[in-house]
Amino acid sequence: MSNEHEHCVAQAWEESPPRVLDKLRFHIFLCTDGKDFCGCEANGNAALSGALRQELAKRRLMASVKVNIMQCRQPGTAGPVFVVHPDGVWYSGLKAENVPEFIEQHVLGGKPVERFLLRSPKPVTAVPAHIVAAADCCAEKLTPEQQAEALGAAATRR
Amino acid sequence: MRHVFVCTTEYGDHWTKTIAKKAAQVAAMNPEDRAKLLSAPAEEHADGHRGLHCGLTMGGGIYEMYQQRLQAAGISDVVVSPNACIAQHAYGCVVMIYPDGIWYRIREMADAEKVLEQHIIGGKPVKELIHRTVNPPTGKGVQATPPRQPATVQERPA
Repeated sequence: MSNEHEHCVAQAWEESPPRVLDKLRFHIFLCTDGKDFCGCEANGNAALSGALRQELAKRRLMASVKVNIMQCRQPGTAGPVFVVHPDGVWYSGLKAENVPEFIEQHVLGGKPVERFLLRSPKPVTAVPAHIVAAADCCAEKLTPEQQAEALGAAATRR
Repeated sequence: MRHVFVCTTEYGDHWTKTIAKKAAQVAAMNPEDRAKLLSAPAEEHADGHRGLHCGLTMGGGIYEMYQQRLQAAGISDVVVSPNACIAQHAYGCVVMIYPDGIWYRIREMADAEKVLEQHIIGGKPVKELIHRTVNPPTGKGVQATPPRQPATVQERPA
C-alpha cells in the first residue's frame, strides 16, 4: 500500500495505531446537500466540487489535499461555502471557473484568495430557531431584512 | 474558533440528495456489478470499506448531542458541522476537530462526551481516543508531485 494515500484506506482497527497524516496539508470541506439551510445548493456547489477534485487530480495534489463534503448551515450566505482546514479559512462565492486561481494562490502559494473570503457574515454556531422552524428556510426565500435579522441574532450571541 | 465535524452519513434526512445520487449510480450499473454489490455481506460496505456508516451507528446522536450541549452551555465559538463519509467507519465513528487537526475514533457515547468536555470545551486533547492527527498549518502551500515516469517497455532481444 502506498503511504501517501493512507488517509483514504480503511484497515482493521488493530492494524492502525494513531498516526500523523504527514502528507496531508489541506483538508477542504465543501458544503453540499445542505438541506436548504444555506445558499450553497442554488449557487452551484456541485459544479465547484467536481471542478475542484478534477483540478487537484490533474495537478497530482490528491495526496496532500483531501476534499470532503459537509453541511455549512450558514443562513444567508451567498455560497457555495467551503472551509480550508487546518488553517480555518472560509470561502464563499468561489465558482468553478475560479478553481485554478484558488489552487495556484492558496494550495500552492499558501495565500488565501482575498476577494472570495467569507468575512461578513461571520460563521455562526447554529441556525437561529426561527429558521429551523420554518419548513422552507432556503436563504433565497428570506427577505433581506429577515436575513439581516437572522445574522444579527447570531452575531449578538457570539 | 473550533470547527468540529461529526460524520452523519445515512443519518435521518441529513444526506438525502447525496444518497439519492449514489442510488442512481447503483441503478445505472450493469446488472452483474450490481448483483455483486447487493449480494455482498452486510458488514462489507458498498464502497469496500468495512463496518456500518457512522450515521447508522452513533454519528447522528453525537451531532445532536453536541449541538444541544453547546447551545445549553452558551458556547458560541464552536461550529459543529455534519460531514459525509471519510471512509474511516471501520474504526468507529470519527469526530474531527480543526484547526487542532485531531481526528478521534469514537466507539461509545461516553467517548463522545469525553471529547466534548475535555477537548471541545476544555481545550485538552483526549490522548487515548486519537485516531489521526494532521500537522498544524505551516502558512505555506504544497509542492506538486512530479508526474509519474511512463513505464519503459524493454525490447525483447531478437
